[in-house]
Amino acid sequence: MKKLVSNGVLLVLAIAAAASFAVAALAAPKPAYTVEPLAAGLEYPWALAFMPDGGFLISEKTGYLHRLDAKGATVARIAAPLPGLLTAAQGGLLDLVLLPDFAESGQLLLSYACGEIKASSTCLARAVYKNDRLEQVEQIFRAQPDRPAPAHFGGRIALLPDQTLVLTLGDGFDLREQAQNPANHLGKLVRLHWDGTIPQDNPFLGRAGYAPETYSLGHRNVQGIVWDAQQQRLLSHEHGPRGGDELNVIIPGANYGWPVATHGTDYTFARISPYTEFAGMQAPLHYWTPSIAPAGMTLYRGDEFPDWRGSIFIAALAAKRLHRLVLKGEKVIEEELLLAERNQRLRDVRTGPDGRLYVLTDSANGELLRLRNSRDD
Amino acid sequence: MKTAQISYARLGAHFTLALLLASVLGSLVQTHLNLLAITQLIGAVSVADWLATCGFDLIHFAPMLALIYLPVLLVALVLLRFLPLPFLRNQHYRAFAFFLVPALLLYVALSAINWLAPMPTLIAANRDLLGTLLLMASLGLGGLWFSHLNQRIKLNAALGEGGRQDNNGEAP
Repeated sequence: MKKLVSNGVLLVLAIAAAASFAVAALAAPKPAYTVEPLAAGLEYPWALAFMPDGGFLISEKTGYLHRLDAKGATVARIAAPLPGLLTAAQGGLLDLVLLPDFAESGQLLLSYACGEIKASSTCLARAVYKNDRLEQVEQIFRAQPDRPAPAHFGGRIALLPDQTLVLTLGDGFDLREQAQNPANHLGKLVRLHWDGTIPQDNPFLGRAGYAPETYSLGHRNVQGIVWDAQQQRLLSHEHGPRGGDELNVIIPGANYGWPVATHGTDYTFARISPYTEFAGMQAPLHYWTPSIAPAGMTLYRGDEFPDWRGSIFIAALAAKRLHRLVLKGEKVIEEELLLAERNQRLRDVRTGPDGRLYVLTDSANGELLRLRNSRDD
Repeated sequence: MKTAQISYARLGAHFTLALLLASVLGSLVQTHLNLLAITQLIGAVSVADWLATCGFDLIHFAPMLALIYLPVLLVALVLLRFLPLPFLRNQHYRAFAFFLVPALLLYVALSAINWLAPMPTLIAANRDLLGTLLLMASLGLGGLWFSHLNQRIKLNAALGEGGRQDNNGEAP
């Protein structure tokens, strides 16, 4: 009798345990998103734009523009005939932005590394993309001076609502102290009209010893920038050295400190500066140590992921993850890591017209990934 | 004259001391050039910040530098040992060679590292001529000190075994 009771108790316990496991499995939150690889075989893709027909235009660092249809099939791949294009090391074809009237005019902006191996810079061109050809190519800006080695070109473009653009630049690596020299473009963000002319309300225009295109200074290598129309602010991130990657709110005319104020050290572990903050220099909104190597960035305002509305997404090269940041005012209050399971270097992230997120991976066989809400599964 | 032999343990100890000296000097070169550059941007760096940065670099950067210096110094000393260079018998030429060979080899090594590394220049002090020359000098002084230590041991041993001899300025 005693044995019967104990067997019964054991049976009840086993059933209860199995039931609780089943309930836990059912209650476990489903991943919020499903990843769909849309296209592969992209050669070091750098930037993504959405075509009016639902397709995609992708810049490849090797100097090509790659057009895909809405399903991700290649429609055309053309060598970009950009004046002085340099494809070496970190240089090549960088960002592309379709102008608002692209559907009618075919006009777009392209940033790229230009010059020679031992004398290179960041250039900006305006062109017309028509019948899968790049026409009327005109170089509208070349950062000064050249750098002795092809590194730290920056190269991201953000269109502002006042018909101007901000182009991000880098310090040229070996010339890091030049980021504090207001007379040149190294380590600066520059603001231009879409035809390359200088806006009359640029913060340093007419000031002796200052490059008139400069919008902000003291940057290392800025490869992510986005205009937040709702909050009326410009956000950018930049690569630090070993540690000290930064997310910044860009204020016209402000100094962001590099290399005087940094949370990073050199790749050799040597200290770059004794200061992490310095009077008169903007502290970052957020920083990453160790480095994540932030690349593209998007501010999500779509409908596909209602819970993510207002989040900033950052593609990370070294960290091989997509970072989702939640901001409250000028403070990051939450950071979620996505796509870690894919273990791929991520170069760019954009919000599509359909509200889904699109991500470019960074490799010789780069992919275009689409993230959609898994509630649809 | 009877040749004085130096044990491998003593050679190793001398090598380690020479490497340590070179790495500390190289680290100080890096720190000072870096802080001079920062000083030019902001006006002044306090003594406390200066000393703290020296200490930080000695702890974090010097070991990395030692890893670079180690094979370079080793190859330089092996070259100096086995190259049949008669002028090395002269004490002054010998000192010059023990300074110059490690220094020149470091230049070659830094060039190779910069060519292989993803960044244009790995060590910031190596970005310009002055810094490069000072880094070369730091390893050169390491080589020179190695030569000096061994010379002294050999001399002491020779004096002990064979009595004082007039070497006419040449190494025993």
